Amino acid sequence: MNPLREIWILVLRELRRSFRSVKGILLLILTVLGGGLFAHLLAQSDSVRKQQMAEKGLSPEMLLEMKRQLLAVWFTNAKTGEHVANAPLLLTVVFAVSLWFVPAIVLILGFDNIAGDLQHKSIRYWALRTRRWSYVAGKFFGLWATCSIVALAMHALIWIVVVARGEATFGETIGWGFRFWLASVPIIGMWCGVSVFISSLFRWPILALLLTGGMFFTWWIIYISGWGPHLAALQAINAEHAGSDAVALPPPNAAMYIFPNFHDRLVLSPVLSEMLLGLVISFGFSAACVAGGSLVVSRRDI
Amino acid sequence: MSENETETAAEAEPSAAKKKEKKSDAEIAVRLTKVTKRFGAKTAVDGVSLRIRAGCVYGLIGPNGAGKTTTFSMMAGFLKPTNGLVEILGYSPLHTNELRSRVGVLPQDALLPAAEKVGEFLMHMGALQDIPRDRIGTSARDVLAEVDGKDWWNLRCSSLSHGMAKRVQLAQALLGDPDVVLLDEPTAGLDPRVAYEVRQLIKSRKGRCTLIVSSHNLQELEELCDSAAILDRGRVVASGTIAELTAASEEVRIKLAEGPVPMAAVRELPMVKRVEWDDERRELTVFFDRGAVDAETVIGHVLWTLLQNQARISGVSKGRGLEQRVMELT
Repeated sequence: MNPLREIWILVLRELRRSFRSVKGILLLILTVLGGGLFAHLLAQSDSVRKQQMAEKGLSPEMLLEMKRQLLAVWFTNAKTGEHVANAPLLLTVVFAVSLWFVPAIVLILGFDNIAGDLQHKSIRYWALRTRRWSYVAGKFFGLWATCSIVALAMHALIWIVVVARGEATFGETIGWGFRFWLASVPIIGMWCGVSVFISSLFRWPILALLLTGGMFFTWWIIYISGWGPHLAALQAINAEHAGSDAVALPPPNAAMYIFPNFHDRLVLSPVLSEMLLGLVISFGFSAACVAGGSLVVSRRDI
Repeated sequence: MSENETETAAEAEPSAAKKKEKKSDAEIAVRLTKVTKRFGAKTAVDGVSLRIRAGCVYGLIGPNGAGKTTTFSMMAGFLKPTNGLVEILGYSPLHTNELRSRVGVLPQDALLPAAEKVGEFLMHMGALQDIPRDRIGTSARDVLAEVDGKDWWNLRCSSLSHGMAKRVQLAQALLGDPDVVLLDEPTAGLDPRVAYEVRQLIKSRKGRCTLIVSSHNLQELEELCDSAAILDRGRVVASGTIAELTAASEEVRIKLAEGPVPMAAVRELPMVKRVEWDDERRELTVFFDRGAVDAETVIGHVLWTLLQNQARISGVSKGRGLEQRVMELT
């Protein structure tokens, strides 16, 4: 049998399993409800913000420029910031926030992906029916697809809110909405890769849960700590260029690169080479994790 | 068994032996060559060599810790041998592409995926075995009916009782009519009625495929198997046909009730080599030369002699019984 077909069969099973399990259904409902509530609150605060801006007499051009500068700093990439500033603000904020939720979703759905099968020895039913590497790849793609669908559900809810509130046209909403969701997919893949790799290391899911959670949190801490020196450098540079309209950006702090979400600055870039680099980094990282997991599972006794 | 004979023939007549080897290869379903498995400092299986003929029912016998589950797990590809070679149908168990539709395995303690429905699980396994799409459903339903579970299609695996789960596990092992079926403790934990049904099912597969059964239940193995290997402390201490292992073609045992024990009359029978009497068990063991006469002829003559001498017969059996043989060897 073609390995791709083998993986496809495994992915279909993983999807069925995820969306039928209590854990999967609850997570989907909570994500969608949470996303809806968040979108509502955000929309309310956006109305207040717009009203305040209008009272202060800020023109739409000035607002756009502020958005550009803010997003350039947020993405640590002037071109990405300028490009994304054209998107409806609600969609941009939801994209950023949903990416922050992704590790939690991946952690909950993925920690027992392989460790659970090893613990209960269920993996033995697959031992003579699948190649070990395609089993791991099937688990990875299944988890990736599940998390991407959950993210899509969350994004789609916001699209409805944006269109209903007249924040943007239907075309703009769908165009930017899909772009944001597509940009989040390779980043979700990176989180899934780590989760599958760690899950392949342990026979006890609780250990996989603790290590995955611990690793995600550590990365987040390192990333956050990288912002301190970066903002200091940003301040210093802009003090040098006082009087200039454009924000001068220092190179990102090395510690920030460790965090998968950080690479959205490249994936969302309007510059093709940067976008491709972002895809290479994210897909390469995911592939390395899956290869590592495959190596572990193929070498170990099950 | 015949391993030494084959090697000797190969030295004497290379080309003829090569042909013979090739032919015999086709007849060998599972081959283990000097297989060793160590877990840290502990050696679970130590230099085990086995050749299991295609089409037979083969038993792996031994007490706890003898290494039979480890040996079984290496055959199924769950464990990798530290040394030695395992081949199923001429392939390493890791060659899944060649074996996926040809080997079925019933692992001893592997739980079924709890959230999955029985039908979905079997369909998924069938798809991975490369059963044609239009036949997966029928094959899965047929094999489920074979284990007496045709009404379980829509039940979740988590809701199955131990006996039902065991039969679903057996169904997945038999799915797609594999050439080799490995069964680890197929009746462990089952009530006598279900265990009987499972045994009948295994018997019904006899001749259709090679069945390898690992079990503690010696009576069951004696009933089911054509051949067996007895393992103790990771080594094969005896192997051969059940008749060879139990010496069924070399001795008969006759239980006598209270009354005369005409040993001298039995000893005088021409085919009898030796006679032993166990007073505690009131059991007469008659040894004979298996090349000269078969057990049935000996039983006829011995019983006739005993009856003529007013002995009261309460039971007759061929050989020692697998249980006694295992007790002697382990």
